[in-house]
Amino acid sequence: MADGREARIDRRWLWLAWLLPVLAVAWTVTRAPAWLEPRLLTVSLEPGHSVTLGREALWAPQADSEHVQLSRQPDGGWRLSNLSTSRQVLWRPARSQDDRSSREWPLAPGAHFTVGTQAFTVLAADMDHLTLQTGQQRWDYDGLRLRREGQPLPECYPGWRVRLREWLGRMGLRSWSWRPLRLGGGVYCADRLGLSGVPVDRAMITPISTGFALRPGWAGRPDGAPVTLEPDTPQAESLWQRSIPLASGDRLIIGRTQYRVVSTAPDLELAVLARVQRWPAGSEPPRVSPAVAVQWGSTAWLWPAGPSGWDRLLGLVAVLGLCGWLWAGGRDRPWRLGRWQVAAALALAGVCLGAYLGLATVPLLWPYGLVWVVLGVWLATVHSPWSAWLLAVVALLLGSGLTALLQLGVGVAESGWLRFGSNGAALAGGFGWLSWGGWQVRQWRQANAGPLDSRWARWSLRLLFGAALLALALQALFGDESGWAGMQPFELTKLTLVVAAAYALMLRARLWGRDRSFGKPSLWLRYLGPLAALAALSGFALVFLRDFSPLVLLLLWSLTLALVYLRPHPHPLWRRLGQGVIVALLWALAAGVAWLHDRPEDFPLNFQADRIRVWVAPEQYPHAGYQLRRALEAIRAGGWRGTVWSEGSNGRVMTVPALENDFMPTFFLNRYGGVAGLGLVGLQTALVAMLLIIAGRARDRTGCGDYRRTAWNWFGYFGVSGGAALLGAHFLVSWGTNLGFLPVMGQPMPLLSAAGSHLALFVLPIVALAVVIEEGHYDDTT
Amino acid sequence: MEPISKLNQRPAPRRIRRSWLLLLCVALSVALLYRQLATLYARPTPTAAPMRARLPVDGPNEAVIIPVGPGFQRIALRHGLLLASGPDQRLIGQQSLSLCEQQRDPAAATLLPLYVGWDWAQLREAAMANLTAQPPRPAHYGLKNPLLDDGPDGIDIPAFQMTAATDETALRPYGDAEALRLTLRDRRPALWLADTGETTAGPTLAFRDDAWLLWNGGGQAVGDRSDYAVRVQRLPDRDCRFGRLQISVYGPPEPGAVGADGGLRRVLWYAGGAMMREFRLAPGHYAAPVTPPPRREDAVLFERALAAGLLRLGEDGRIAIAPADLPLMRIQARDHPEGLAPHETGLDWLNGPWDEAIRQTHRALHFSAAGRYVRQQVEAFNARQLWAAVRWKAADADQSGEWRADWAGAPLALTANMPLLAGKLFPELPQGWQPWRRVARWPLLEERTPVHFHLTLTQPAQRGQRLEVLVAGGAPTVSGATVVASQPRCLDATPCSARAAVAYWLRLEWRAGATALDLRFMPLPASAFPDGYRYEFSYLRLEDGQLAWRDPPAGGAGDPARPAPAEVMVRDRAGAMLLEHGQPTVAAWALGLAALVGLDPAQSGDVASVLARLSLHGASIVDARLSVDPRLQAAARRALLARLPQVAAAFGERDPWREVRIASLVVMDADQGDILAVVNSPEPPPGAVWSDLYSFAAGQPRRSPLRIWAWQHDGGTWQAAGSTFKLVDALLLEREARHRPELAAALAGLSADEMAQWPLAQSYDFGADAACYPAHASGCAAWARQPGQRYDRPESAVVHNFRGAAGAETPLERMSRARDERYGLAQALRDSLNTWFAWLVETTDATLLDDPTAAGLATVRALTPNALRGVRPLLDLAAELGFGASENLDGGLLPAGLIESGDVLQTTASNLDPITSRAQVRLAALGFRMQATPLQLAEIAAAIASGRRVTPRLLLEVNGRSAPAANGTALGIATERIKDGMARVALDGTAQAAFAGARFDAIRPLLRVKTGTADLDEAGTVHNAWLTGWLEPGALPSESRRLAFACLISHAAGTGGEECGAVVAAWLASLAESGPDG
Repeated sequence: MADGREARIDRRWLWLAWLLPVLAVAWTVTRAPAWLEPRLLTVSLEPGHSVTLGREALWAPQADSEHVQLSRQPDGGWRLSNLSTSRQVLWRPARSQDDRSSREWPLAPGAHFTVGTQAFTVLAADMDHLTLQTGQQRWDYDGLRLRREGQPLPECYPGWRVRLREWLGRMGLRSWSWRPLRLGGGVYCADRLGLSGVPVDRAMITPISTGFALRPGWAGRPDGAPVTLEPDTPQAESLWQRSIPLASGDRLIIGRTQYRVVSTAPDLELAVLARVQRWPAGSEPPRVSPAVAVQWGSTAWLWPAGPSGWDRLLGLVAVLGLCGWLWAGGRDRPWRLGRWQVAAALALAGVCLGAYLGLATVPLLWPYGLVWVVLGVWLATVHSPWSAWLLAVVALLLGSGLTALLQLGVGVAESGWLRFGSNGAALAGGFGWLSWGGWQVRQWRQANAGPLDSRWARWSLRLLFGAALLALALQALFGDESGWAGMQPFELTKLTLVVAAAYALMLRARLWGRDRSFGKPSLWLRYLGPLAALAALSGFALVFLRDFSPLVLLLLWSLTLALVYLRPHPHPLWRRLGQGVIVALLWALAAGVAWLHDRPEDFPLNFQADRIRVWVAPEQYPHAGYQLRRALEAIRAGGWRGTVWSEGSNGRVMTVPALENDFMPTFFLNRYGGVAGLGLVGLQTALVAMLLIIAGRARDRTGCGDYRRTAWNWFGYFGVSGGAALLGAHFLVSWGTNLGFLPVMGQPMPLLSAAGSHLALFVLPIVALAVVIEEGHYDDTT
Repeated sequence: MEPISKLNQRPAPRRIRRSWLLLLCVALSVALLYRQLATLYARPTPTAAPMRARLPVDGPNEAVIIPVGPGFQRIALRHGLLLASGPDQRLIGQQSLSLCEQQRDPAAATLLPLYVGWDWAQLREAAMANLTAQPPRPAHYGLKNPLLDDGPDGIDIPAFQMTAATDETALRPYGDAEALRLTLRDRRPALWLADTGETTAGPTLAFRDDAWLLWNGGGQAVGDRSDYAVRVQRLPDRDCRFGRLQISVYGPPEPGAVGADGGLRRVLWYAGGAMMREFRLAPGHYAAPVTPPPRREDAVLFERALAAGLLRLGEDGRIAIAPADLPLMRIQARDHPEGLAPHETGLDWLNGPWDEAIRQTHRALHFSAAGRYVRQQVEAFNARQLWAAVRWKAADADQSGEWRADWAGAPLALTANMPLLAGKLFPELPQGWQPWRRVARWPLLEERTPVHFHLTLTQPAQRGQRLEVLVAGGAPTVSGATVVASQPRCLDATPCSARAAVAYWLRLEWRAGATALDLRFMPLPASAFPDGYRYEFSYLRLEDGQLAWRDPPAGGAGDPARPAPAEVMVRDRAGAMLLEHGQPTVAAWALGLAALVGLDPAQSGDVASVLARLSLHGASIVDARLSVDPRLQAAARRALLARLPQVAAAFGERDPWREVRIASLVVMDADQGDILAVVNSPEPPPGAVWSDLYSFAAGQPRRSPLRIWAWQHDGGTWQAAGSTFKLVDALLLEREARHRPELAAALAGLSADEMAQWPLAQSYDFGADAACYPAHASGCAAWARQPGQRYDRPESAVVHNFRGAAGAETPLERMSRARDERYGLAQALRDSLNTWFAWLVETTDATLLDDPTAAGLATVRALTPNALRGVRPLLDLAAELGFGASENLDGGLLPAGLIESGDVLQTTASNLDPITSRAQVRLAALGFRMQATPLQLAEIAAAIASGRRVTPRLLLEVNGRSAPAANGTALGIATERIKDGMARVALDGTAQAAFAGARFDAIRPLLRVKTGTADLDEAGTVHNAWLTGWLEPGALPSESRRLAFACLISHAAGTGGEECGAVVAAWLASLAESGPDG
């Protein structure tokens, strides 16, 4: 349905939209305060002496003021012990892959230790079995369950997670079922060994790759009940004062700052790897400790600061480039240039992924540059004006987000904040280059083989479904509300839900008017598939996350999808009545929120009642309402004009918790002001509306052409609409959280927050789906 | 069923312009966000004080209108009344009076009427009526402690009297809710208000603790508004069980006064039965208060947890928290009793109540942000219930080590923070001591066992090396070193017994090769360090044995809008830097000015910290120049500090006054007021740790090296000016002599015969041949010549002359020794003749009714500033010379309000104690019963020298702006005789010995001084030694200024002439010898 007006669109406006964020980033860089960053710390100490270092001397902003003690042994070696009461020191020896606490003590047969007044003797300790003796009692632990005198103790809190762990253990996935043995408290049960006079979690025994280790528990504190290693021997020491030897190549994390031991003689040299405290370049940095000399460098905008890790990055680039070369290279491939293009795209995706994974410390602006180049490439690639405009809006939104994240990083003295913008840009760039490479290959393959068949579609769906469920299971087992292994599997699940629902509705729409009977159970089962996924997701959110914000998103999505489904319904009664009901429901939802604000005490869900009360009266909740109060203060402080024009550094807004993620709109409003916020919300509405328009254009094409294209267009209609609905719900919830018209819900704002999983596993795939649908459609009609 | 093709080929969609729809959506969303943001921006920030439309919760429960404008307004309520006073209502005068002083009969505890609001003429009339009554009565009969006003020409308070219910009613102790009666004795309209909620225009009113009298100037009727008010309050008193009265007079604001508190009005609510409450409210309509606002989540959680038994107060004062696994323990106890670990018998958590609500409270306590905060507060509370700390000092500066501590094996976190009280544990300012190591947190152990401190040396000790250790805690057991000496230390008790000890000082000796020291001692309970912590800033408090959660005062974190302090540089008069980068320079230390300019950025009140406040007025850098002349300062410091060892040595090896002795020498330009030198002792030693200095100064204020004793005093009884105050007497007599010819003649000088025959002397029993006054007082002649007898007992009305080795001398003996033909003011100053000054000053005091034989009306007190003007002229003159008011030393360079009380740029007011008897008039004339500073006396000397009174100044220049030239105010009193007398002091008077050498030949003719020696003990063996005066220009090379000075050495054995005379002589000699270039 591309009319001539759309076809004649002037692309110069698109390029202007593409260029604006580049200018914004350049402006941010030129206005950024100049910082000096510690690159190398050199600690000089005479043998036999020790020095206490902390936040200032180590330039570690999240460390305690007296965090570690470095001692020089008489033989010239170095030992480090953690002095902090509440923060860890993580240590990764040179040839190890695991970060371990400096207070971790591996247990070996014959070892003794005391917790409080209780003495323990290790009788046996191997890979999957530990035997301890206390007084006359013998305890066995296999990483999952504690036995007293051979008798298994009952579960502390029986439940499905325990059964899942046991099942995993039986399936041979022993390391997946591990859990620590908690020492202290008043109870003996499967993972707790109660001790008189010792509070629970004072210490714990954790399974490690080589056996078991004793370490401070979650409630462990140096001045609590004593935990003594090898008591009554000359080697006796407190677990909290345990020291570790340092060797070249070791990695340390003190507070949140990462170091690598470069050398230990004649002095100890620590290369600073990440999250360091910076110093304004205008003045001479102070020398905090006479024992520590610092080598300073400036921010690496475009050129690498050092050669660290480049071999691994180049390796990844080469492998991906080669894969692209092979993937795009068929013997019957008619053009050669495309092969290079695909290889180059994958290689550049490799650079982005390498930067994201931290294989090498790439210059700060590289990810930003790579994502902008690929956005430009995509803009030049697409034909349809609607997809071009969609990409332009995405460019503006992504540009706003990345500029704000860059400002977030350059406006504070701690270097760690820079990673949010870089990681987001790297992920977006990686996705862009990979998808562009895939697009090139698809263009060629489609030209030869035609549209994909339904079998491929079903298997793709199953694969996606399986991956999402697996990721959720991993999060349930090993992660927490904030995700697992640095990613948020729930985002992939949302994408899966959108796709599965679109697939089911596509099936349903194709059969409108033909399946009034219930005689096709398999078909109905397919319809019910997404519902089952929805139920699973909701249950997961409720049971595991104990968070109702995903349910709010899913509710809004379900209602919108129902509206989308009913809109083209052939039966007028269904169409009109159904749409009326949905609109009424949406109104009721809004009215319910208003009612809840007035009468929070009537909220039916007990476990979220606190959150509602905090939302209504944050001033009464100095702790639970801290985040919202701070956010509203920061937004007010920004005003309509924002603070970025007059102040290079970010200031007090940085005290808002989860600023880079859930409260990034607060940062945006504080720094760029309410007027910029209005522009942002306009662009976000435009994005959702354009997705809906593209979906509508796909629907317009149903019934034209063969059944596969019809099915594809229905799928596009439902998929893109669902994606748009979920995106819209995200925008709504995020603005509501930040401005206080909805309770605080931990949801990022798409294309603004530093939420890599959300961006790469949900937002960009939805945009890509819309582009593919629209481009296919446009190809069909031009 | 429709055919498929038709179904899938629906009619072509309506040609909606999608672009327009898109734009509409965008516009809608933008509009919604705009509305939301506009609402948010318009909402006032929560920190701003809202104009409350409702009365406070603890206020009256009905609607009221708080009126606008100045004055006092009575607002009648259904129950009780409100009294609103306008902003900036001025406190005109205030007097405090112990009810014990007002008793008619101490045995029966009956009360004499207290008269308030008469003027002197009325009082005198009443006294005369007493004298002429039949039968005759003493003048003061029934007129004890009358509180006078100015009379019709000034603040004229409606006269009233306060009595008990009847004349025979015995007073009851304070707090017994006894009613006192106020009776108006004035025909002018006035209104009474009492804390009983009563209000009346009638003459009589009963009140318990608080009453007001309202009236209007000009005799206008009192409606609900009045210009003036007197408040009568009965308050508790430490020394009188009946309490004391505080009577305050308020009047309209000063013209042009600016509302300092944003126009808020002070509103007092007298509800009748309940106690008075005070609010600050803006004018306007107020509705009755609503139900109290919900409490904060942490307070609610704490109270719920306490009620549920999840927090329990232990016998040792610490709070136990229910274990985190208590729910599981309860489940186990029910389902698997064998799965319970053995637990202590002390606290049985399993037997308390348990239900769903308690379970939720437990969960919140252990697993919510508010719960974490509550537990942190409990930990902080617990940490304060026990005390244990050590501090050490190695004899060898190279020796270093590290302390660790544990308690029953549990390692303890240590901190260097100690409460200020710890400053009392050191007899001297600690120097060279390592920081305190105090146990910061105590684990919740059941048993009380000794705490173990372990010191590890970095290098092995050598045999015989020593160290000192101060242990805050019980008596320690030492291992690893030999105890050479041990001494208990107390916070207050002197001498300190082991029973009262809260710390132990140890001197230890290392054994050869020792590397460690172990100390074991019992921690002390919190009560051992009373007020050791500032609980007003903590949430958890113990009130009447009950735990309570109280919100601490807001704003502790400071005002975020307050700009950072300005960067300050301070220079001396010559431009040399005294302070930069927040630290005093070497020059400042050398001149003894470090404490004055600022020792540390944490110090408050020093010159730097005051100047740093200029950031509030937009300055980011302040470059200031002081008036201190480094040449004069250096010489003065050398002279004073060199004398002090001799002062101490006079008391033998164990100087008992070492810990309370202060000394100061201040020099000012008599004509311009510039403070040219200011020397203080004690001085902060270079290298002292700021926290030690601060703690020491707070714990032992008399020994504070941070106080500028030259113009700051501690209000104690050791600031008497002694005979230097006779300069004020002399000025008073000169002024009185203008209208009293007989006095003028006495000042000019009387011959021996004239003096013996002089009617004034005869009527006052002043004897030229008597060493005491009155000459014929009982036993005077006999005891006055006995050394060792004191003469200034307050109960004694007798004074006598200074006792030399041969005892006190009579005026005739002085005349004979000095070969004086006539004896007048100049001679009396030369000899500092006490009897002469006491007598003549006494004659000036009209409250004594010119009757030396009777008590007169000496108990009279001024309730308003001018009430005794002309009646007791000594007070008038002292006030004119600067007594009773503090002065800012900024030379007018700083904005108004920048200098705060306690800053070094503000002097402490020199004060005269209230005079309530004839004896006290005489003692005041001799410089007793007062607190005077050296700068105040130097100002008096300067005023005599120049004939003008100038305000002293320390700041000469701030950021290039110079202080304006001082004009001063003319003294208007003849000073030639005073100058003559002061010249004689150095030539052949009380300071003769100090300036006798040939090296003073050039100086002596131009030197004018007055000595002072004020006894500080009963036996008269220890004195305040004073010397004040000035040096005329030309005596010193290239010194064209007239240098006024004052010296004080407290707790000296010698006289002012001996001690301070030596200091000033050494200073002048040094200047004379060194020449203009120092």
